[in-house]
Amino acid sequence: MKQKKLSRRRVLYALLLILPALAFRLFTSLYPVLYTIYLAFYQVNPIVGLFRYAGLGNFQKMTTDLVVQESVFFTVFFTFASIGLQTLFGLLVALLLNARFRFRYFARTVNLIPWAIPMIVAALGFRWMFDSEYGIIPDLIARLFGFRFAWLIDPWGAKWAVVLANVWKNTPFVALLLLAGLQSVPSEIYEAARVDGGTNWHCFRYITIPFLMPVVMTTVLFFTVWYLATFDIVYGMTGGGPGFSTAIMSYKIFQETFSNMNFGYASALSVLLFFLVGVLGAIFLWISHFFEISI
Amino acid sequence: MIAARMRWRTDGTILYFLFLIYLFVTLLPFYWIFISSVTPRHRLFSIPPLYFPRYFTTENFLKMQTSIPFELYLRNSLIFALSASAFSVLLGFFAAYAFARIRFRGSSVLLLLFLLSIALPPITTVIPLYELYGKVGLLNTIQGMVIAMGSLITPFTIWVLIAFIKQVPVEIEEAASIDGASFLRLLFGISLPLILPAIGTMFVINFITSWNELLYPLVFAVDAQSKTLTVGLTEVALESTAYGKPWDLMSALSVIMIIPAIVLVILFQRTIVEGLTKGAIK
Repeated sequence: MKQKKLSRRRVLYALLLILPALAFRLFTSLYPVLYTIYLAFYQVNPIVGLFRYAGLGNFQKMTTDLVVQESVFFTVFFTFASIGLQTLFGLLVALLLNARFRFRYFARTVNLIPWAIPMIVAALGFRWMFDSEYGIIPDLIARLFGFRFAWLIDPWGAKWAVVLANVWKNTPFVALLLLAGLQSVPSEIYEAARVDGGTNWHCFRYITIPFLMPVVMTTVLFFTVWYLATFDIVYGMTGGGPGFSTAIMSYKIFQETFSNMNFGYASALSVLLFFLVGVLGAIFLWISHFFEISI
Repeated sequence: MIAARMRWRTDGTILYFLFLIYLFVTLLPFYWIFISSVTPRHRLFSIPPLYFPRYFTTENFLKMQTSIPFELYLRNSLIFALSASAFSVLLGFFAAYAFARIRFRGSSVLLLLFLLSIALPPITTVIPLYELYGKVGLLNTIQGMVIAMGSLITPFTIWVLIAFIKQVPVEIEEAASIDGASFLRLLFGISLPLILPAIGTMFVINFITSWNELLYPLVFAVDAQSKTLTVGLTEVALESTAYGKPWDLMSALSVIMIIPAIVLVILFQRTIVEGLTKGAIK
């Protein structure tokens, strides 16, 4: 009897402890989401005091807005290209940081630095390095491979430049997680495989990869959701240009909100972004489920 | 035997070669930003670029400080990052303790909701918060930015702290409880000291995240009174020179913004890695 009373009291304490965090989360996430969905059905411009019911007007406008198509395309392209490259490079860097050599602790420290700096610093730094006249990246490429390319002026060049800068910034974080995954593989398994005559490649393919798979899927899921919301790098590096070729969704929403003061349309675009996050997140959850069973 | 040793030696050479490429790619942007920050403007904009400049100046740092209210922004950045970090760690510790130590119906669903809220793109919450902040007087205040930022990083903080709290043997608290310790005494007198290192870890990580934040200050800070260094950098970038953007001044400010990151990484490398990997690897 006393035990029961005690445990009920503890539940009350638990709720009291969670309440502050929950209240602030509701205030900064649930309330804005509901209000954004509401605004998506209105035409709103706070400067001229416009607030009029628009039905599906904002969504209809989206289907004919060419910038939206380009924006959705680049958002998905950016997400997939970044995740593909950073997983590949992240694995290579993790293997390097896990290898036994004299400077590995130094290398692990260096590895954290790109993670720790502001994205806007990296974005502007890369804009400077990709500069078509004074930049060192076009110059280095010209010296090494003999051709010059104006990255940020070409639509596809700009798309790839943004992806590459992003991969530079976030590969260390992926490598860090994969390194922790590598270190969690018990060494006895490798020893047993060697005794049975397993080669380096066998060990890598049949021990390392399966062990890393759950970590890889966790990072892929996390970054999918995170990259769909990317803002800083585009704001700093290209401003959505040239044209609208790198106008990632968050940037387009920001522009509609603060340059065009189209609060209703920006909200409808936000709803589209929720939808994108939900669909791609669900697909990746489903894929990760599939992977855990098959390996 | 000899063959094995030879293979090891070639492996070693390849390893150092890969290491050098890795260092080059990782450090090149830092090298170039630093070089750009100490090179006089008329030497910086040269074709081809001067990879090993022979001209040195500290003037860029002085000029940068007159193009924006640097000291004010620096102060705002520090207050913003320290407060948002403290706020999220406080909220995170309370909630994580409840999730890790107390069983109640619906606790896993509630935790899942916290984690799902990370998936919400921050830009989509900006209009409602902007209007609301305008009404309640939080617009253009550091407090308003701290609330939004602290709340944003709380779910991850909860997630990592739960993993840390679960590592501490529950027997210590049970023994204290049998001795008649009150709940508050358990929370603050027993558990808090035991996971203080983890709280320190999350404080450092959240400080770095908030120091680096651009979107919230960009949206909610209307004037210099509450703007941070990240916004300041985009303001320096707005100036134009005969050559284009003032890369000399931007690089100088970038160097100043990178320094805290490097210092914190060198001081707390171990603990940062532990905190970041805690959530992903069991």
